[in-house]
Amino acid sequence: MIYLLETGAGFWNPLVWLLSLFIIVLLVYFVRCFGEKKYNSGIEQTTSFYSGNTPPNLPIKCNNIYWGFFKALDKYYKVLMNIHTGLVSDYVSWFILTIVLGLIVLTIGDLLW
Amino acid sequence: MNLLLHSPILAIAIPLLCGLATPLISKFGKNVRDLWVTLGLLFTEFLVLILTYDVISNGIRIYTLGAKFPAEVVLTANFVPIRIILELDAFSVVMALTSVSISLIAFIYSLKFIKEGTAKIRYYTLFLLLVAAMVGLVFTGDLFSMFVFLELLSISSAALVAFYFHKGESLEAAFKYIVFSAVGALMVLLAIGLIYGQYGMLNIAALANVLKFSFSDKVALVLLIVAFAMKCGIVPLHMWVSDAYGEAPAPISAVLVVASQASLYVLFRISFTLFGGLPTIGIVAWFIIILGILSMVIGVSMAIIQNDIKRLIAYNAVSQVGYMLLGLGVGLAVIKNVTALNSFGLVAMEGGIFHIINDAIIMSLLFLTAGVIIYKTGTKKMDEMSGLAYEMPFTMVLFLIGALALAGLPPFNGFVSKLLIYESTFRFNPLLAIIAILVSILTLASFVKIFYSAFTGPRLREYNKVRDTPKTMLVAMLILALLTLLFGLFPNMVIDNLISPAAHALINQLKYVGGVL
Amino acid sequence: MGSSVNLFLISLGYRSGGVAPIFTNAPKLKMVLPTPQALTLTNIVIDLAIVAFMLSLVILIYKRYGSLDVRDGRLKG
Repeated sequence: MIYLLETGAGFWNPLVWLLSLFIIVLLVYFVRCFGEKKYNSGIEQTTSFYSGNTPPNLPIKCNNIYWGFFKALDKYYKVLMNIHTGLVSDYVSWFILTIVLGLIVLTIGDLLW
Repeated sequence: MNLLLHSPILAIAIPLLCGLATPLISKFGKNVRDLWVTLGLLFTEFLVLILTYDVISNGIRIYTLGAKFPAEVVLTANFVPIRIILELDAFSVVMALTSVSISLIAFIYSLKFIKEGTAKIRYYTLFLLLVAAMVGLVFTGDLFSMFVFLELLSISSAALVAFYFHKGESLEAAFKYIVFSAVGALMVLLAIGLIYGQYGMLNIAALANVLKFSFSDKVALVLLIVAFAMKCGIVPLHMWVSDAYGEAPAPISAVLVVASQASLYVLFRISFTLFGGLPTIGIVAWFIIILGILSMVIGVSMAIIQNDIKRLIAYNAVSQVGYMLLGLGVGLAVIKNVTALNSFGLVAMEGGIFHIINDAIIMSLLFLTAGVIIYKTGTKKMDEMSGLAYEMPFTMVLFLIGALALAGLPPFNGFVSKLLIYESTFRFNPLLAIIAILVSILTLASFVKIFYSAFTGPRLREYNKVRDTPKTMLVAMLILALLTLLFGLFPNMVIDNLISPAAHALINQLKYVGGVL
Repeated sequence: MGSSVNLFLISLGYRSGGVAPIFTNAPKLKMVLPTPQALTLTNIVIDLAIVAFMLSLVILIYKRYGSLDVRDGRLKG
């Protein structure tokens, strides 16, 4: 079995990867052993910290998990959602637009080459 | 009768016949029908396997339909090949192998996924017709039979998308798909008419020899590229993908992914072999690369925002097609430049072709896992699912394998093909590789979204204990997950034996022409 | 749109002064090319299947949605 894959600029060898995984797991375990060995579960020591407020009881739905990302790219997403209308006639117009674009690109490139 | 000699046409004819005979055979009972379809698919798989072995060891294989000696070509006096000729080279055979294998696995899955009743006869018939169309599309050496198989593919896959016709959404998705496919196919016919009017021949190899690249040929090229790009689901023609893959039954979504990759095969066959000698091929290559980058970015941006499992995976399928276009577009751009070709062009093409195979496997795994989730919870919206890790730990592991593989994490196969694409496109133009890596990260983000909402979290309600996952479905998904791991750990097995000959066959236009003339 | 492509295909095979490409009792003139006629026939049959399929889908969509307006679809984004 050949284990080495050469790309043009690098290589992928699963044995090297497994070895490095093993070493990293050892390091992680080593660091973990420096932690607190005993703690009491069930009391406040193990709950999340809400700056003194009571934790809310709502589960976070899947719409909301990337809230910051969507809020930052709001303008981009508004444009994108307006384009995806779901109408068949829009699909066909995109088709014609792409053909026209391709023809323009090809003829102009031909003249310039 | 020599089986190997006739296997190209048998590999197309057997699924066709089995599919058309299925309604008759099913009069004898359920088990007979299942056995009949299984035998048909297994025999097709066997034929494609022996063909793969033969073509990769021995070179191009030709089959002339209806001739006395099918392995020879009948020529007229002007060196025009007559009769329909099937031409198999390494790339065709690799694509056929992927298509039939994934269809077999999806069939094993759908034995228990689709409920019993008369609808299942319809399902099997259309499924076998779809397999016949895919194999026909990649084996053909002739532009017009390409058109015929393209139409067969569109109609059978649209009928399968509309399978659950008690819901309005499936019908609407199938309607959009068939309208769009019909418009695309008409454009293909227009392009074929333009080429035929100019040269009088329709055989791809013969045309590659005499093509003069006048203006009408370039118009035909643009029409063909855009029409087949529509079938693959490339931006800006991708809007049907999320609807069709999202509303189809889960195994059909898996097979649709492979069908769109068969159209990708045709796209590359046309750009590399038919129009490979075009002096301004760099422009076509950059057009393909720009479309690939757009697909990647828009596909993944729309994927993160979805709330419905299958639409999310479908938009990810759009973005992965962008990767394949990027890899093969870079190969096309440097096809005239021999040093660049040897240093990174071939690697880019191998990455692109390997990504086609990997994407077929991983997307099928993801769609089948999503099917299990929908089977268990009865809903498609991610807002209503929670805590499935307690019920289905096995499915969770399989989904995790698929998601990590698609995002490009080692040691899975997605990592290997993406590594090949990143490294080669970086040497072509660094910006493309940077965009590709960023898109990978966003892909991972979109799968974390599914994992978070479906698997983690508190148990929402008691899921129906009766609907436990059937064993056949788990076996199908397990085969795919094992393939993922295997191709990732030992990629050389696949790359040296299957992908490298395919990439060389795609570049080598003269060998393709020499097969016929 | 299908009809226009069919017409285009048939007109490709035209030869001036030609007759129909049938071999029995043919007059001794040049014949029109038969291949695009074969392509056109295939295309007509395929279009028939597609239009039949589309119409059946439209009937079912009308039953489920109650209107034929494209904008009333429920799949967006």
